[in-house]
Amino acid sequence: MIRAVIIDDQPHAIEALERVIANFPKSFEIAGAFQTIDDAIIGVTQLSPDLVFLDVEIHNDTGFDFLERIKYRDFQVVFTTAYSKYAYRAFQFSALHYLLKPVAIEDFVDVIERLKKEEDHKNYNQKIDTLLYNHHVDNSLKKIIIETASESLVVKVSEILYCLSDGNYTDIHLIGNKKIMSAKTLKIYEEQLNDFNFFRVDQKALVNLDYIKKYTKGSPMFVIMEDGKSIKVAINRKPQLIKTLKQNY
Amino acid sequence: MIWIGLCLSTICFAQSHKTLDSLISIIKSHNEEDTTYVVLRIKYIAQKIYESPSDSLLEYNLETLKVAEKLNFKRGQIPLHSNNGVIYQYIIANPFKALDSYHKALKIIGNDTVFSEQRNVINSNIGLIYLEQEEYSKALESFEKVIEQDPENFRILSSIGTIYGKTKELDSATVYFKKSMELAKLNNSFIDIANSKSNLARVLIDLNRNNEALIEMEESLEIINKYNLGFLKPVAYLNAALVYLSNEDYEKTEEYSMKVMNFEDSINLSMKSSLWATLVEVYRAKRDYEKALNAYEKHYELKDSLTNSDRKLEISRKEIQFEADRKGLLAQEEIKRQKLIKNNSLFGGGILIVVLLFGGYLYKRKREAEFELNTKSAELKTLRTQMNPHFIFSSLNSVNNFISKTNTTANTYLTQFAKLMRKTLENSEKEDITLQEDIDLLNTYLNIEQNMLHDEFTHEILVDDALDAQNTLVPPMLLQPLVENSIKHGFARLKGNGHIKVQFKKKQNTLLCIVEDNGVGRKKAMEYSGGNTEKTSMSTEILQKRLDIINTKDKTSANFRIIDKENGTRVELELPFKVEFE
Repeated sequence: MIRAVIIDDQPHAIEALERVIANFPKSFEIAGAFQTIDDAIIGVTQLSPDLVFLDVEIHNDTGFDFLERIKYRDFQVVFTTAYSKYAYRAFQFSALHYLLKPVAIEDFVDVIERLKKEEDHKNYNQKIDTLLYNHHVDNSLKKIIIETASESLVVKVSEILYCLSDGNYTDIHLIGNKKIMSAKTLKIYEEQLNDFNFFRVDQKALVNLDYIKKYTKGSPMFVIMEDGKSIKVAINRKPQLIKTLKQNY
Repeated sequence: MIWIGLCLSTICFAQSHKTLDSLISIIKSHNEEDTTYVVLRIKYIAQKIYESPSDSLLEYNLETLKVAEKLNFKRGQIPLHSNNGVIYQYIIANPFKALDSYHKALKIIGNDTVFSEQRNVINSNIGLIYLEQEEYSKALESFEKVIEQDPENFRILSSIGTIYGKTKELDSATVYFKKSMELAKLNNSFIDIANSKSNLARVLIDLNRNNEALIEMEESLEIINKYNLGFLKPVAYLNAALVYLSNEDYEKTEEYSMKVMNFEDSINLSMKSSLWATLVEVYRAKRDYEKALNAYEKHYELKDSLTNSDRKLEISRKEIQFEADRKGLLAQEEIKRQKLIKNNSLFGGGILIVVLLFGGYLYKRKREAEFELNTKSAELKTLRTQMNPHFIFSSLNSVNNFISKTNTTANTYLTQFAKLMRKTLENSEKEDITLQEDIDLLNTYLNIEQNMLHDEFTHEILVDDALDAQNTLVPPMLLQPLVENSIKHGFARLKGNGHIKVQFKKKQNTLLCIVEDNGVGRKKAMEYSGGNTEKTSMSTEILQKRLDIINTKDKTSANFRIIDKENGTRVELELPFKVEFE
């Protein structure tokens, strides 16, 4: 039985989520629902739930404020938001879960399944810390959580050299000859690293432009990374890549 | 460009032969903030000023300076202060701040002979600032310091000639230009020969030695044309116009005036103003009074805006005065002494114009960067309009609340609809999405329709094995109106057995998309609706319009055709085959 708390400034949104949860009476118990951050801090501290459904915009505050202010944080978080591509990129970055409102039952099931799998990791604090840290620093310092089959690791974006696709997995190569195998697709990393200096050079590869040591002229074009790895550039990505390299450096 | 070239090559310890990106990566991999780190960053800055100057360099430079100061690394501080000066002088166009930085560098250098080369560069730049500000005695003082160390520096000699030209000490000016020319010849520097000759010609006019002026001028033009010294052209042409005017050759005067006009974007106001004044004389001599009047008006107008620039200069002076008050770096007395003398003579502008031209070039680069920024802000605006989606989904969420708690179908329908909306909105920003994304979108749409029509039809989407749906690109939602037509018209009277088949195939260089239904067909559908085909034709019209846009933009021949089958309709849409990664 999971004890859950809902934080949302709109009563109907709380009701809507309660209705979705009501489909799973055996697995869930709603311990409480709060409409302001102040109430939620007191309530969550007292109730010590397993899971908090946290709205992103709460009056003039945000769910981030709640997480920053609450001292007790031994719970998992699922963010809920009506529509904010930018907010949910932040959640993806710290491997936190979110639900888009109105919440579809299949999405809800999906998130809960994933939460269960992660229960043994016991690393929600690390994720929330990363989320809050990213909230305060600019891109050059941001960190990303990479989940492997057995653990989740905090990595500085600026330490990623390149990512290579391996079917549904992605090999993430870091400075210092380190490699992490993530269970997410390269496409997901491409989206997440969109605001950074990364470039999808090929179907199989996403590279950090800061770590391109040199590139070959001619066709096919290769970029040679700092660690010596040479990566092929797709023919139709070449002009854009050269343009970007010239603009940035 | 010669000036900045001269200044920059000695800014760093050694000229950097590395490319910017390789420098970046070296700096990145250098974790320690030691003197090597400072040196690397100095190299990067020098290169960057050359290749892609921007305001942001200042911050980078200041950061580096801080590190150098922390390390008490004097050899690093000198070029960094000097860089600051170059950035202020040529990129930000704040000569006063530039002076400030140069003075800081000079203070560290002191009398150390090791840095004499850097001292010369800094003094040259300081001299140019004063020359630009028409503080001739100070400019002269700085240039003389350079000449003391480096007596054969022909560029500086030419600059000194320029000063004497401006102060009408014509004999001195002639001496310096000739000396500069001689040394430039020895060094085979065509730029400097041409420039000095052009300047000398201008001095000779003032000395009423028109014939000699003509000879020097024509030689200068010959060199300029031979080596295509584009950046010298505007000022040389203008000088030529003046020389021809003095020789009463009005045809040539007009010809060269017009040539200057071609450089309109790269010449400064005072040049333009003088140009029109010259043309006034030309037209007057040719008795073309209408044109003369017109030229006069233009000259007058420009003079007016020049006075405005004078005002700007005055404001800058006020600023520096404020700075001086605050920092006590410059004595207030001295600033008060500074008076605005606007000398309209264009004399010897060569060197100055070279500086200004390069400044203009840097400015243009900066403008381009700003333009890019504007484009970015336009994108931001589009993003802002997407605040509306937030409203849409909040509303949908509210509507959800009114749906009866037991009615799960309505609930499902609403959340599916929200998903479709969300995906559509996201994709609407994009020109192309992957075929897989488009299929997902189409599936979401078909599921909603199926829910609404209580499963009166089934559907299947087939992708040819030869196609990689993840790597094939299509314009978003092109097929949706066709599928909608099948559902709305084809199945309307068909109870329960409707079927839609969507296929994607690769056919040579095209992507063939087929939407096929087993409905009543177009003819019957029209009969049932009482001849009302408006909706059908509207969706095909929209499709045609979208294809037209794609075809014009990409020079392709995307097209579609509707085939009436015995039972139902088949639409074949041919799109250019496009992959995300080749």
